[in-house]
Amino acid sequence: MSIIEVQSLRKDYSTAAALRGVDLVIEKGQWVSIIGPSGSGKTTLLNIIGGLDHPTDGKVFVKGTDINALSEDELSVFRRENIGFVFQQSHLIPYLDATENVMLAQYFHSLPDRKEAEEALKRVGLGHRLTHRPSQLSGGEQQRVCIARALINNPSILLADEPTGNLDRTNTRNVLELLRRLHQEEHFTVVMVTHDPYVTEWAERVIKMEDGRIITDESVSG
Amino acid sequence: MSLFQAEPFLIGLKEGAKLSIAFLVVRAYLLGLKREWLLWFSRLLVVVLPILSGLCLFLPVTPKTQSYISLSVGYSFGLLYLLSLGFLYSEARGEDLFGVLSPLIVNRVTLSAFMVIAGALFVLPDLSGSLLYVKTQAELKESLGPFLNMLGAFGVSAFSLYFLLKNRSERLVSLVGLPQCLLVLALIKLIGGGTRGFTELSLIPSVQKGLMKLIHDIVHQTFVTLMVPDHPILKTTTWNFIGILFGERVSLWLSLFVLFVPLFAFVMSYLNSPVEVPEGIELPAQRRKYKRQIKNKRLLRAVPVFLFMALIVINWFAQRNEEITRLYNPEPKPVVAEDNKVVIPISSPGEDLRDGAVHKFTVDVKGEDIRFFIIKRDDGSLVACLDACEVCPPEGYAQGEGYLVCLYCRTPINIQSLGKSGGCNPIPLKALITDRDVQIALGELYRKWEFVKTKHSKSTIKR
Amino acid sequence: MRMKKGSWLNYFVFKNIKLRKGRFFIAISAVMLTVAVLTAFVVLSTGIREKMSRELQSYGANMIVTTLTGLPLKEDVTKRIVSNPLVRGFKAHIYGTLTIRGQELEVIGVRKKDFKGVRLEGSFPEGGNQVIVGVKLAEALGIKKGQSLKEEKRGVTFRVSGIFERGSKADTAIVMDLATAREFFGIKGFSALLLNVDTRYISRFTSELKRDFPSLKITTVKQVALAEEKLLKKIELLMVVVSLVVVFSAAITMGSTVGANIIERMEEIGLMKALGARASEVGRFFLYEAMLSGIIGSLLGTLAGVAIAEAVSRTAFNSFVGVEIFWLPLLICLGVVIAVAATLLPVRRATSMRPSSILRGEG
Ligand SMILES: Nc1ncnc2c1ncn2[C@@H]1O[C@H](COP(=O)(O)OP(=O)(O)O)[C@@H](O)[C@H]1O
Ligand SMILES: [Mg+2]
Repeated sequence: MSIIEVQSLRKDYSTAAALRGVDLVIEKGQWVSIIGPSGSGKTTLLNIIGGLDHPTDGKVFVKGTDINALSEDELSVFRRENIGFVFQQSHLIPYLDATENVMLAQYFHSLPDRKEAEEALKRVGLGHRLTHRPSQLSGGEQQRVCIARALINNPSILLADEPTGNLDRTNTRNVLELLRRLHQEEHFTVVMVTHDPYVTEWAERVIKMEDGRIITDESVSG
Repeated sequence: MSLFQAEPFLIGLKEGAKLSIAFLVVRAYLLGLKREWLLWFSRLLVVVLPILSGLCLFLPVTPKTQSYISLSVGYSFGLLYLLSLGFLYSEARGEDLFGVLSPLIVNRVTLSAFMVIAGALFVLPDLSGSLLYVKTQAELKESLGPFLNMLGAFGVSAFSLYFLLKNRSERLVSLVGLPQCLLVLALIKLIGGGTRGFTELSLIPSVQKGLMKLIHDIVHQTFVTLMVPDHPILKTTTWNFIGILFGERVSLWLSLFVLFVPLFAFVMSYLNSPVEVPEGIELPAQRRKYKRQIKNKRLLRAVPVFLFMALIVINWFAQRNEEITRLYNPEPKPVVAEDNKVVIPISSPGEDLRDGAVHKFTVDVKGEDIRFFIIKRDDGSLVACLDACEVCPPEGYAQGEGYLVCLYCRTPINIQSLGKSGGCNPIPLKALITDRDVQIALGELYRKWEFVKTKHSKSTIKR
Repeated sequence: MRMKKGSWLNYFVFKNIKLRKGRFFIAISAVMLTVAVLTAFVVLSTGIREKMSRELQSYGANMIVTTLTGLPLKEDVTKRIVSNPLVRGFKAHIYGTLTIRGQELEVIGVRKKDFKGVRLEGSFPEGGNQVIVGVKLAEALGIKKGQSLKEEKRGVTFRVSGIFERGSKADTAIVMDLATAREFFGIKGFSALLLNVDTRYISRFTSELKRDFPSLKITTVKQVALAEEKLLKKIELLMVVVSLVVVFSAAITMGSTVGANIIERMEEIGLMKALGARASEVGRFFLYEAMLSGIIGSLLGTLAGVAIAEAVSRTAFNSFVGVEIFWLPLLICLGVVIAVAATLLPVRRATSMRPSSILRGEG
């Protein structure tokens, strides 16, 4: 069953076209990697799927909903209930500690619940960093906080835009191992953008983009 | 005489608006209940009750009936308010009062009885009060004009508001449960209350008066009972401090407290009581979402309560400014006795005993300045009393809004209750009241004043 | 530390305020300045009004009835006027002149019970041939208590039984008992009636009187007060202009402070939206902060305003003005409204932006 369906998607900026007709279907529970050189339109595609941006043309169905038809506020509600984001820059609030950063996501979803937030941080291996500020955490730890925050509301889709872009090899592996474990436990769908071929080793399906188009789309078995 | 009369017309508008808005709220509630026959029953009531209140026109218009009616306006408000509080609390505790009782008594008969009672509480006192007031005007003008004006305005405002707001009110359905519905009825009574014009917001003063009396009875009577025989230790200054307790100020704050705190407590317990999440919801995020939804719903349902609280505060605030009345304490006017009695004309240039103010007099008997006063009670009759009571040193009384207050112990005495003897009441005088004058025997004055001076005991004076 | 459910908003906002104390302080100051000026304005103008009406009330009357002809009012006319239920109180005066030391001096004949609210050194004239003298007149002519005064036209001698001070025009007059004055001037009725009429019905009462007694001259104290009223209006207009300017500049200060705050926190706003916050839910944080600064600023502002008003009143009128408590909550509300309104626009603009344009980094 498809959870994301993109039909002839276009996105034009005043300077150039970022997406020139993208068609894509992603199945529920799949781990998909999107790889391509910088400027190939990966982020744009991901943002449009997540409802952070509007396409110039084309349609996006997420869980059967045509998200272009939603108003800005309806999109927000849709995001809080269905989608978790992880960005390359961790985008943590600097004056809140790790737990509170996770609780912020709970707050916008429904109610903050400290115990649950702490549990989530323990699951990503940060049980000893609960009350640390982002500035007191390493890059890998920050990214793990972001993963905990993205998954705290049990989304069915995780959209990650170069989550390991700022990490070294060991940290990259740790983060990806962690994500694989959580993915196996909770069966959410992963769409991960990267320009690092190493990261695609974790994916079940790899999509290559160039110049605003998909050029290859292959499933990796095992 | 012109055909249009503003006052009855406005009264009619007001009553019509009250009725139709109330009906719309009730209708919204009943639509939510989805019990068709109750809706029909309420339609029946909204026609029958106003007609029933027309029966009051057979009552004679006397100050007494008017004061009973305005009392019943107050009490019916209180009952509606208390009823809604009861239901609010059961809702806050997550149960439905009817739900709890339902297996036993909730059936068509009891439900309709409940509706009749609530409807009667809402409609009858206010409407009959207004009708009686218009009747006095009609009698004064000896024409049916005021009635026609009122009826016309009533019909116009009732129907136009009903049809204007009918569709909008359907959006209220999710907002009003039974407690909210009752509370809104009380709210409408509060805003449009009083038996006369728009400005008469009678809630706070009446609660205030009741409280004043209650505190006084508790505090002062305790003191009086403890101090045998009289006030030997407590001096005026001390009493002035104790008297603050039963002054306007304290009762004003207390009236706010009494009206506000139950609602506040409800809102707090309602909004903060924990949410039970049903079994089937497993995911933590889903459980949180469920809780949020319940809380949002509660917040929505607390809106009428918040409104009511705001209104109480506004009403109280408006009242607070008016109530800073200074006490009126005129110089006693010297009078001279003839034939062993004092005769005071009811009306003389510059002075009319029936003007509602306290009229103080002093008369010299055997070298003794005896003070007494004459005042009109609320029912229109005159009463004469010594300017002293049996308990306190005779510092006399001053007049506040609707009561006299003892200048020694600050006890407020309701003007209507003047003429009663004993305790803090000014000592009543036997007087012959004719059409033209008030006559009091010197012996009566002297005997009772002597008692005040000597204070043999606290037992009442022989009348 | 366990967080309670409802207090997240509080917690978040307070943490943020701690981080940006300077900004918060500027916002508070802007509100405070505005509210202080407005409070001072309201306190002063209501205070002046209050003073004026108290001055007028020391007349004890709001309507003065005399005759158009200058002849005394007849006794029966007086009786009919004062027996009208709208008349709450009255004083009857007799006016005349005494010639003393070659000067014509104004005399008011009045009953003892009507002569109130006056500082009197000595006693009210009892019985015949006694007068009391206004303090200014006494000073001017060097009259002392207990002295005798010779009326030169009729050759009568009066004893001065006291000196009075009312603090008004009457301080240049001589007062005698009504009965004495009647006898002396040979007047049967009264020269003037000073009525206290139920203010709600004053115009109705006036027209009734005019209908029943066309020869009466009726002056309401309102007319007397009109001249002062005009001056007051001018002062008030000036104050309104000044406060408008202050409100406007405060709103701008507030708005630019909030604007800078928002630019600094753009990333946060984008993040919140990505996490699923609606525009209004993001705006809530900023509005809450604005409300806090509004409340604190207004509270401080009312205090400062009252202080300013008292200082001005001390220097200008040499007295303190009373503060009508009723106004203070309104002024505080106004301060909060200004703070929130000034915040609303920049917040609206920021929260309605697409999150993608904020969050997109260099990737
Ligand atoms: N806000 C913008 N305005 C103009 N051009 C933009 C904007 N955002 C992205 N682009 C352009 O769109 C193209 C795709 O960008 P992007 O999706 O970020 O690529 P990738 O994430 O694959 O590096 C790039 O050429 C970029 O310059
Ligand atoms: Mg990118």
